[in-house]
Amino acid sequence: MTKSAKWTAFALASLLFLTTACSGGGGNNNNGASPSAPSSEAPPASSGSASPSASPVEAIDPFGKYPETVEFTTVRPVANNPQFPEGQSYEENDFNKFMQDQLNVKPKIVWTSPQDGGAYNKKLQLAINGNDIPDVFQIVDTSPTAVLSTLKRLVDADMIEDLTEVYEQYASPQMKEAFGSADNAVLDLFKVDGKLYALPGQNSLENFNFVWVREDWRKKLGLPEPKTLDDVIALAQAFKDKDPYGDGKTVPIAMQMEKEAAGLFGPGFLFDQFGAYPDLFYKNDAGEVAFGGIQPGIKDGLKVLSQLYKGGLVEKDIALKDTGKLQELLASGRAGIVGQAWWGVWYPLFMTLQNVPDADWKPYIIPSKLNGKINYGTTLPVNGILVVKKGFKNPELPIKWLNVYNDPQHDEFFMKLGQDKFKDANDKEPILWGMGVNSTDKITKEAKQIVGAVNGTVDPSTLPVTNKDAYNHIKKYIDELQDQPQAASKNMLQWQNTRSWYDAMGSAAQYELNVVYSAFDGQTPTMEKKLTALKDLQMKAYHSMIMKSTDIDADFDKFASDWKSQGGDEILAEIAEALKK
Amino acid sequence: MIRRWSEQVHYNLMLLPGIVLVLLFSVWPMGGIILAFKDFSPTKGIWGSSWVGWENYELLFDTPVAMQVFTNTVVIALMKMTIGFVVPIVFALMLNELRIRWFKRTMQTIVYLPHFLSWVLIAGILRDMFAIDGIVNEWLHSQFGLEPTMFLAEHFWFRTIIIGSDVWKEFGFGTIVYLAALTAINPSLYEAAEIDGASRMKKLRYITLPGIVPMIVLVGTLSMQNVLNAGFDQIFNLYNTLVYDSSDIIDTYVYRAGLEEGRFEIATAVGLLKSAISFVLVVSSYALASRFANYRIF
Repeated sequence: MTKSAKWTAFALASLLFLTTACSGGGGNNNNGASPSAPSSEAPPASSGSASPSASPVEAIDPFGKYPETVEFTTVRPVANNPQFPEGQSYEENDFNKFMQDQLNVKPKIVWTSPQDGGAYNKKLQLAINGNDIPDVFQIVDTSPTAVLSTLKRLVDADMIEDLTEVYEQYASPQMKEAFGSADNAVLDLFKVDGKLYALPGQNSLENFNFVWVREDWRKKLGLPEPKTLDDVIALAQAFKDKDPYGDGKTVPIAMQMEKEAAGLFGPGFLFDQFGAYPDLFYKNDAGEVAFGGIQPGIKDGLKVLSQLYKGGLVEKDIALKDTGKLQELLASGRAGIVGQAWWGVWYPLFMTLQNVPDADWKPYIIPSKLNGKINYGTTLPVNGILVVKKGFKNPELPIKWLNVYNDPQHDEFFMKLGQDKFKDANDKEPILWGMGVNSTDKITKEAKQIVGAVNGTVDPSTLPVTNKDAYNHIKKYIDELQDQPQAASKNMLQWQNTRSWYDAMGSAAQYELNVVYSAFDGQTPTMEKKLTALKDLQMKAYHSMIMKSTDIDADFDKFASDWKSQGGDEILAEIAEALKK
Repeated sequence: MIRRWSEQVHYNLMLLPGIVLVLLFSVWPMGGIILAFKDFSPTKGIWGSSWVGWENYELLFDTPVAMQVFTNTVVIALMKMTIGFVVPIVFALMLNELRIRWFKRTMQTIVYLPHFLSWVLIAGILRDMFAIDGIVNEWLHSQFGLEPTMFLAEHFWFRTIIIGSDVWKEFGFGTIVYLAALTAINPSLYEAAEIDGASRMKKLRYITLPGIVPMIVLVGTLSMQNVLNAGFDQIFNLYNTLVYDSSDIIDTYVYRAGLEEGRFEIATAVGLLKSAISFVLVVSSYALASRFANYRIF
């Protein structure tokens, strides 16, 4: 059902960045421009439009307000069954109103579609093929490759604006710096023949895998904290044997084979151990392009998985599980161990606590036995792109929008709004294209500060406002835990901040991160023709090795040679060729 | 001739709305099938896009799974057609032998109701029923002590469920056709047979069955056009990675490879190929029907 789960996760993760992780100055938007450097060019944010005489029509100002209201059409992915505070909607809400005050622009939403089940993407594809696209819109998909192939079609059909020039003119210094933190690789990815056709969002690079454990169960059974993969397996075995949920219904490890949402509930933590990345085309030590899915490390990972399967530590029908089913499992409190990124408590692990108040999830980082580092294979950290319809008179508009949105001086406003007024909304940040443009090391830096403040090595008063918020929650949680040492705090925000920032990122900071980037995020001709079939082949082979194989070595070799002969070799050669240029 | 036309003109005018509708909504959109031979570009439109000849078909047959997908389609469709062909006949004959009228009526209604349910709904029910902790496995375990099976992840069971559920959903509807044909049999034949001392089985064999043979032939031959329709709705809602080998059909493959990426030309190309094959089958089955069942439309 849900390719979307990943995107919901992204959305929530970016919400998290926003609410707790921004690094800028703490100016109140009502005071107008703060003296902080990036926004020094910005005019006062007051709505008075005090200086119409400045004739800002031609003036290039990344934060400049339009003299007359610019209306534009757009579309957006939405939550299922959206709930908002009284009187608010996706089109009319305090977030968008704020952006209107800042820039004097007014979006008109032509249609909305749930992100769930990829419905938004399908509808967008139809709109594109029908040559009926809005002025500005967002393309999000499961991978940069998929986003790029949609972009290429738009460029080929001459439907969207070249943004090269307006980017140079209008991108805020802060935005340029953020892209620069990854050598502009994310920007370069969306250049076609040297021209920039899309404005990408950029995540920071911390989506590596943690092993999340039902801490209350672990304590109840008196088991030690896991430090190696073997410890994790032993823990799972104990969950199976002692059955803490009861009725024999405990699911020691809740997992799916990245069928729909890469990473979420995935076996990534296990493959990372062997430095194996099932979906990645990367450069190996010899400098050649290799496909992660057929490397020997995967075989080792599959052997462990097959053991887990045969021992009943993962569910018998693992191949039929989708994200929705696994969420049910979490919500009912039957799952014991889950692989998930550092933001797991924000989504979807909090679901357990909604129904089982005494439950507690705690993250453990398991460095690889191979190199003692945290192995992490990733594509470029893109979280969707914005494009502008050919002929739209203000092609710089989305850039200015993201300038304002990502301006640290507004962090507090957005954070407070999300936490206070939109507390019970299921889309807590219904801002149009809530894309972050973050430097790739942002989260690590923030985490160091927050953990430092909690441990007393950093002065808490020096923290930026949003991080101070996280710090306060963590502090409270830890203090309260000493008085009443039961499982989790009854305050969800305190618990979530502690588990994600302090426990997850704090413990990860002790290890070195070994990031393996994809070598190529574009699409070659053979990929276009055969990648779907190759992916099917891969998933089929993995599943049957885990569930049925008696000789994984032989089966894996067969799969690897099938993969190569059915188009894999051609793709690798094409990528190598493309990289030479 | 001319006089006849002027007398009939108002009748012919009554045809007009129908003809307009068909032209507008059925014939005109067919122009879109040229997309199968084009490299579609939204801004240029269907006509403006450049021609690529057979490239879309080459692409289709170039994929390693194309053969498998075609085989699956034909096999699943043929099995559905065969079983779905026999069951309604047998069932109609059995109902026909019933003497309790209200029971007969009730049965008739009940068996044809599933025809109106959507596959989305039925697939949801089937998934729950055949899940590893579902009702079927529990029953098998409690009755026969069998180990739970993942029905929807095994090739054999998956196809069985696909075919079985399709037959279950549609056989009631087919039954009605035969029941209608049965009422057309002249009762005096039965009376004559009775006088001659024919048993029930004999009556079935020499009167009832021959009486509906034209209908059987007709339904059988006409169903040949479905040989490439293995049922997208049903399979799409039920299948998973593990059973692609045995159940990935043309439509589901096109959906994954073509429509999800917005490559309409591929989808059109396959659609056209399917239509072309189906057209041949319809024409030949019509010829067969007119020969064996004396069935003629015109």
